[in-house]
Amino acid sequence: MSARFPADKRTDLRGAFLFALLAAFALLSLLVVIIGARSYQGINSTAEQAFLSRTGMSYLVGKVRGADATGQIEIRKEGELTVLTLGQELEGEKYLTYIYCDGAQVREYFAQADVAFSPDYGEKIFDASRLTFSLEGGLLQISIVDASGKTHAGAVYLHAAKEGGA
Amino acid sequence: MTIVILFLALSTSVVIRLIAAANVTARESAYESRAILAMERVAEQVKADPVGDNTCNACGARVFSTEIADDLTVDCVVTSDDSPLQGTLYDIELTVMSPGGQGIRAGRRALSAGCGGNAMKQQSNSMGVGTSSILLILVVVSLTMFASLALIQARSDAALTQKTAVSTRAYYDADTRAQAMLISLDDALKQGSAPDGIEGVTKQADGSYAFAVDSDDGHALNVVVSVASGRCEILSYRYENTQDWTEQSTGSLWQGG
Repeated sequence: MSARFPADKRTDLRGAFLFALLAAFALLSLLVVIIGARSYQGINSTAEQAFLSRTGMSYLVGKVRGADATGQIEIRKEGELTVLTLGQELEGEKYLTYIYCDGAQVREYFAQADVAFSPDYGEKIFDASRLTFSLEGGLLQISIVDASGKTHAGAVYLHAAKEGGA
Repeated sequence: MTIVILFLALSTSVVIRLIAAANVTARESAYESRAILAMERVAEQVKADPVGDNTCNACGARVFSTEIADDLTVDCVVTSDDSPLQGTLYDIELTVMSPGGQGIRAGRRALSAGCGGNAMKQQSNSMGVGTSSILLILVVVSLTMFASLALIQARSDAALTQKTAVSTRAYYDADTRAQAMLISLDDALKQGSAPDGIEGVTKQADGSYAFAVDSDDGHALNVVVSVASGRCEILSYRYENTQDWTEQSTGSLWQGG
């Protein structure tokens, strides 16, 4: 009695084994690709959230802190837009920085105070679906709603502007 | 064959570890960003109303917690110093304790912040392991690069968060020193001394007084006060960049005509 398989059967078995091995490679590779892609998507989405709450909000807070002076910070209605205006004087001329959201992006427009506000010319700062401001008792509350509907809130206490025209 | 399987297991493990590390770094960075923003928000709210409901503990400190989100609570301790002759100086200490779950390490943030050699011999089979090995190596190498890039991105994101934390601390440090200067000015006015006698305070042409507090991140807090009412009234409290702006050459631009 021989325990050996005929040569053609051995070839069949080897072929089946190699096929199974290749299938296992393919499946494992696919699994790793799927895990990797999901994690990468998660990392990107986390980074986007962090960008808004860190870079976007820090930028706005920094702009407000740089303009905290009597009569220089104001929340205005320009058409349908709520605009935060930050004033400054350069070589005797008054300039205004307008910060607003057009429904898709937060924009900034810098112009002389006597030039009419043109929202179309604003420079894009970051993507957001809504930007709201409220000022009460010297506390300026800033709220950014991102494209996914998540709200990022910040606040700046105005030391000087509260006593003036804000 | 064993070598190929070992290679697959080892490289998959490396890729998964890289992706997991990137994931943890990204989550930590995002949480820290939210924590900084939350602490900043609470600090500004306390500055606007330092007394609050005036409930103090046995040590005379006002201690409260503000829940910003389910996983984010800011603990705040406000202590008052009544030693200045005019007004009160408040010390605000904020802490966020991050939860241990969701791939984020528990911590405290404060603001005061191979190739198969054997397989190569089996050349008779059209579905040779050599082809699959090459395919596998390509997949693993590209995935390793992909995972490494994700980790690099997450780390640079975390570095940006650290920079934000450093600049936020620098601002609050300058703010604290500016408030101490304002208290000194109030004390000088109460005692009938000239405010410009205090080091760093200068009298302006319009009769107001100005001083600047430098911060570590290249900014300065420029403060202008009016003393007409016998107390400091802040006219300007601007946190501005002190680094010189250098104009870029316009030589290569079309000048018109």
